[in-house]
Amino acid sequence: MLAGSRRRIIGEMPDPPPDVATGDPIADLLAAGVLSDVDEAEEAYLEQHLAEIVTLAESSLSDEEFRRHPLVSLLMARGSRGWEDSLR
Amino acid sequence: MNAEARLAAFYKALGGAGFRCLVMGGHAVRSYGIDRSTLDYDLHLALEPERWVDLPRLLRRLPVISGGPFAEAPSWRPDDFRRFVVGTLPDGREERLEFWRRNHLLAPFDELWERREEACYGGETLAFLAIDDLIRSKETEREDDWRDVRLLEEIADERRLAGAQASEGVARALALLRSRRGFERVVAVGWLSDAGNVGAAAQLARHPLPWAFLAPYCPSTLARHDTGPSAAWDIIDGALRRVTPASARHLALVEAVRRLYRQWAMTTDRADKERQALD
Repeated sequence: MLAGSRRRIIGEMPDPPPDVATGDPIADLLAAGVLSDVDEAEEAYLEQHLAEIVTLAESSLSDEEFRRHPLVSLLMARGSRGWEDSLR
Repeated sequence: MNAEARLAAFYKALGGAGFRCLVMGGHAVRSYGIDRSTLDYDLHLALEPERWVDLPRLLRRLPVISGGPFAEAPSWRPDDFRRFVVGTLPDGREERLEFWRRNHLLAPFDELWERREEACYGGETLAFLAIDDLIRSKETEREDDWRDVRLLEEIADERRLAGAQASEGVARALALLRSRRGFERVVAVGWLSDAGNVGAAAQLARHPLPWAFLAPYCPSTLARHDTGPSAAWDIIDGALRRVTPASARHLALVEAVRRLYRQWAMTTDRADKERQALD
């Protein structure tokens, strides 16, 4: 499910060759050799999509839909830690 | 001799020779409680230009250095920063002693010295950059430095929040808030529910990150300052004034501001390095 959602929001990224496409834009970036590791690919993806965070924040999504949006999930997972994260 | 004791030996020898210096870099990060490895000894020196030119000769006279290997390594800004190879580590890598006379990200030495923190390290009492100065010194083009920033921000917030008793301390802690953990703590204790605290913090805050945390609590107060990119202030004075405080939207926009600030700081530092290379 996450992979499919990522595919919808990665819009302008180049399509990988059909034989390596996974449906997950981060995995596709890696498979296509655009970037070399997951950390780098996730960072690059976020840097390119920061403006969408503002659009999503001002959209009519419910709080739960906003929180579960893959771009928001990725941003929060790679952002400053909350206290609950330290207990995982 | 371990790395902490070796740094302490360098520091003591420099002090004995009349140098005033502050520990910065990886060892300063370690002194604030972050367990990370570091190869270099980074020091900020109070040194007038004439003695800076003469630094290699002054260093060679120190007992802790004389008799061992000593070679100056290249620097991209030799008027402000010099580095020396002073030994070989057990794994074969170079042991480097690095000095700043002026750091482009930091205030002048005397101001840094006024804010210094002293701690026992390697068996000696050493002076370190204050934690907020150390964070600023790490806002460079290097990804590794931002890993330190992230952890140091949490520690700096914790220290301020633990020490904030009177209303002035609370306002200052809120005005400098940079970590999500710090934010969660001030929400839990109710400090942001007090309009007096929020108003006083808004008067003091200058950095986009604390403003990103504060903005939904004081939506009618003008925020924009000189620090950081205009895109971050656009979010603070725009979308962040329309979200519910402490909501998922609020926290996500804080992270967007954090990333914009980091991009801006990295670009600024890289441009400075490129200018130095051209000069």
